[in-house]
Amino acid sequence: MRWKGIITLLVLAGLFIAASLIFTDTWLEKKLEKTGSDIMGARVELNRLDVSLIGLHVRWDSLQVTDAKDTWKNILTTGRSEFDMDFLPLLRKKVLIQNVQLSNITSGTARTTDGKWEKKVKVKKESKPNIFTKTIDRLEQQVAQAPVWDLKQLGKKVNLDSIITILQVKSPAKIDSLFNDINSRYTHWEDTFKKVNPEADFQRIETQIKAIEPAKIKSIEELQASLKTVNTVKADLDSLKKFVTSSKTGLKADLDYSSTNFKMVEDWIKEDYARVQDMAKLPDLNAQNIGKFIFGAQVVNKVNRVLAVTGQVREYSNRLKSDKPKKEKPPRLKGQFIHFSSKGRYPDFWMKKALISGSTLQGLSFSGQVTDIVSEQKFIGKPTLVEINGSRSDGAALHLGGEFNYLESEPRETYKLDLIGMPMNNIKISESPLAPGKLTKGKGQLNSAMTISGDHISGNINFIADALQFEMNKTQDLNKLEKTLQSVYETTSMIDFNAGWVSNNDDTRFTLNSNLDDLITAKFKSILSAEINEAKTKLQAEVNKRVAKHKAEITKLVDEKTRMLSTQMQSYEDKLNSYTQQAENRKKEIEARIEQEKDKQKNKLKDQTKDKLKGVL
Amino acid sequence: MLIIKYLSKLLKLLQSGETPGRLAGGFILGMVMGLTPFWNIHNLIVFILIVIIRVNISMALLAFAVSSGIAYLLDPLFHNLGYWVLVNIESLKGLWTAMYNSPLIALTNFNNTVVMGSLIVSILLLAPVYFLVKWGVVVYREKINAKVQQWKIVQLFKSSKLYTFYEKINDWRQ
Repeated sequence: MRWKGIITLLVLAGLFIAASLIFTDTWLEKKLEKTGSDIMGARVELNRLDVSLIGLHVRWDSLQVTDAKDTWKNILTTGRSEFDMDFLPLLRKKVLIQNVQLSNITSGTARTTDGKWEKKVKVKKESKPNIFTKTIDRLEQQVAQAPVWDLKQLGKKVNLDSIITILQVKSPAKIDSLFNDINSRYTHWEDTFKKVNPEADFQRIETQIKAIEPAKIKSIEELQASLKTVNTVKADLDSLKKFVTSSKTGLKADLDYSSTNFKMVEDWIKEDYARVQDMAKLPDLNAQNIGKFIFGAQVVNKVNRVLAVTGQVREYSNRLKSDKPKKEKPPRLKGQFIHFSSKGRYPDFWMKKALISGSTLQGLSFSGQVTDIVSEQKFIGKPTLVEINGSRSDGAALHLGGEFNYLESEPRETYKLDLIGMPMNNIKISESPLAPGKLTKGKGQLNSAMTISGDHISGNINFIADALQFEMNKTQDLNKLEKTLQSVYETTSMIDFNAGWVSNNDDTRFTLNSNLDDLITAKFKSILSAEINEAKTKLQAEVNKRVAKHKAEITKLVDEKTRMLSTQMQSYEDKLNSYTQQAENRKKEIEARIEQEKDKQKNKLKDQTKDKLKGVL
Repeated sequence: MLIIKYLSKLLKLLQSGETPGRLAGGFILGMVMGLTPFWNIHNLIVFILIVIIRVNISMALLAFAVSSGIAYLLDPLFHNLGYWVLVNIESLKGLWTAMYNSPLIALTNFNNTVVMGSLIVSILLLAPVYFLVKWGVVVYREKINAKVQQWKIVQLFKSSKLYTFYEKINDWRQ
């Protein structure tokens, strides 16, 4: 035993404990701020973190989380917050927190310094798309696909001449290419028929058959020579039959190819119409499009934020599942942690209750709780629940409920948000040019719900606002459409919309209906329909003009050549059948004649023998 | 530079008056620390053992340095072995679950594939390496040392300033 060593160890341990007591708070604060900032992509600041190692008590005076989209604003701030950790679970490497008090929570407060955070760029392994990423992408695509309603642009007459000069009609080139392709196939058959020249063979065969007249032949020798000729003719016909049969199959395939591809010409022309229409930015006056255009982006933005957070929560919950873990390829010397579980044991992390209170910038006070934030729900047999209520003196109220349930094999998350009696003054309901500038009066109500069960997402938002008064973006120099829009808002005092979305791994459907759909569509249609239709007709005519010559050429080629080659092939078949029949008939005639001649000779021989025998006897 | 340093250390240790048992003891403890990921509780225990048990600390440091390099090369093997032991051997699952949920043991990171794999390899190597090093030291001192000292390269090396410098430091430490 080295006593010097033991003393050194004791000194080192003492220094370690002293350093921990002095520096833990600062070190931990910096570490937590860095980790939080890395996760959020914006600065996270903890003020005066105090960690008491003896009582395992944690406290901070304030927490600021910067909004990554606007780094001069906080997405979340809290006031003084504190909690205690249980000691015994820590020895099992498990964190158990009974109660957390998060008070004075606010959102959207201005920052005094820029909260930008330069995150180290890590090459992240491309993760497999899941129901959340698929739905987020599809919803964004669907909203982006809604036509852009530019009132200034629409208010002007479409400059068709300028569009026509830069118009790129693609179908003529495609038609020409198809023309050459089909033509080469027709030429191949024409050349083949010319080279083989079955007509010459048929003429020769016809002459040979006609030259054989079994009735006029007297001797057996001549008949047998004719039979030989007939057999030669039949062999020639068989050879021709082989050629005709194989050619017929090949020709049919080529003619089918021509007719199938010829049908595509119409599709190409339609594509050109659509492209030209798109170039001219001619919108479809469809009610759904207007609703989606006004509210779609906002709704999808909010839904996608919730989906992204839910996706992350579910990913973490899956990571901590007790199933057989998938083998990873960790960096050298880091290894992979395997988590074990069994019912009735402590989860790795369990915050039993987080009490939340605060207020929004609009002065709505809220309070509530999040219970059982836990790494492995199956251990405690309870889901994570969120329950927050808020109210304001003017009657406005808020209720937010949520459940994250990972107890069953299929994960399930549900959300419910209700905003009741919300004053709408000074609120801009959308950034869309079709929406009014600002609301000056009115009350609104919003009810929304979403359920994500396994790989199936469904949700809806119903919004209704009435007793409304609008302030328009612009009051002077209005074009006819802007004036129309203004008149729509002057005559209505209510706006509503219902948005719904359903998604699974294969498909996502997003619908949005608003009372503005019909109101605006009807008014715009009366002004724009005639103009749009006129523009469409002109552009269609231009496309037709450019395509006509090419279309006529290919139509003529396909019609003429198909008819010609089909007729030729039919003629070969007819002749082949006719000469085969004739040859067969001739053969039968000759065979009959041979039999006849044989009988004749037999009888003659009989008679001669009788005569000779008569003389002898 | 690094190789000279280690060679100098090794030669010095082999010729020192330290018993083969203490040299071998220092070597195997240093080896465990080097082969397994450093920041783990079991290494704290090994460190305490090195400090309080009469094993050769220099040999432990040398073994730590050498086996750290080997550990880097063998990391995939440790990961695979650890994964197999932790995940694929069903009969041990109950033991791992109990350990995972036990106070203090849970803090050892035994559920990390590299920790588990390297620890198994280290434990398996403890006895053979101990006896091999002990035997090696004896054989070296009896049969090889005199010959090695005759080697020109060793004489050249021993006459270098660096070696003299290390010798002085070692003398001063002792």
